[in-house]
Amino acid sequence: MNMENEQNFLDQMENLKVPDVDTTPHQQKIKITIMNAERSAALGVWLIAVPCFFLFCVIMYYAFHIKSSWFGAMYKLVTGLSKNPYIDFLAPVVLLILPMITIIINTLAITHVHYEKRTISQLKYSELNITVKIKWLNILLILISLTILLILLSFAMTENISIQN
Amino acid sequence: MNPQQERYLIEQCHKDPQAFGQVFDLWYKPIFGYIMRRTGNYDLSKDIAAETFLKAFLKINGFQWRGIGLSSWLYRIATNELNQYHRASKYKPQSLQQLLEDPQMEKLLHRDVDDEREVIEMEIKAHDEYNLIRVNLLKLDIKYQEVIALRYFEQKSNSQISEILDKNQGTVKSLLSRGLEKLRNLM
Repeated sequence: MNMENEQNFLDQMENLKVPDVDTTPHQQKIKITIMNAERSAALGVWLIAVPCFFLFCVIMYYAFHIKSSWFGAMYKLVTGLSKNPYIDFLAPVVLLILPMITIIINTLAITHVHYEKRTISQLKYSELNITVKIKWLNILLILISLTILLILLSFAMTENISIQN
Repeated sequence: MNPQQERYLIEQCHKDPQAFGQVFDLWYKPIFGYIMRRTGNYDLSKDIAAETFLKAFLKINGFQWRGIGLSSWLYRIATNELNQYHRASKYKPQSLQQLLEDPQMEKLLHRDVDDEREVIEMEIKAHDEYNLIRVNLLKLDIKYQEVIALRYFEQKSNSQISEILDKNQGTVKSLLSRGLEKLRNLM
């Protein structure tokens, strides 16, 4: 009897009709999302890696006087630019813009702004929600870039004061 | 697709990431079906399937032909994701989570699905016998769920199951036999 039950159950499982699912409607959407993933991931890596490498080189150069070939070449280029009176404005632009771009990109990556009109018991009001995600890498990059900008600003101010004196 | 064609497709994916589109087109439906037939939950299945293919897409460069086929590799990723879902109280697709932080991606992935959800869930509900088995299967240990679902829901052979789960065929046979016994007792 037990053997018979076992065989019946095995037959039931072997002949089990399972549902077939049609994925056509959402399949393409998921495909587009996934196929774009690498691009955005790669872009994210570069956006963080390039400023990080630049900042690392700056710290190594000013703190330990270690010059990497990449940084050396860039340093030569920047000092070369400042010697030319027509394009001497490029050097501070490069030094200012790179940390500024880092700040903007990383701030955008961690903040989310949401504006909403709400009504609670006939009282209409607007709400502006600003959310900041705690992502330490982005916050660290913002802080390092801010420090560099502050150093550059204080350097420019002291230079100006000493010239006037 | 024979092993030769699979190997060629993997080489193509190594050279050009866009070739992964073919992998997706070929295996999305069976993998989504496998997840759906195990969970019975449309939204969850979509997230697990998307996470499976995203992980496969990001790891395909490291995939080497070592006896395990592309199809089994995808089933293995999906099975691991399903196990994570069973272990945790709330499933969090890690790789997918980063993509979903972009509101555009979130919209693209989750909007306008009500009709499709209804159709698929109706199809699942229409199979009474399968539903009874699935509900009881969920009461079993995960190791039995895996083998039974692959064998009887997906019609995989023992050798394919052993490839997917990275277990030898003897273990698969024994898990199947013990799992069926437990399932029969529950019904």
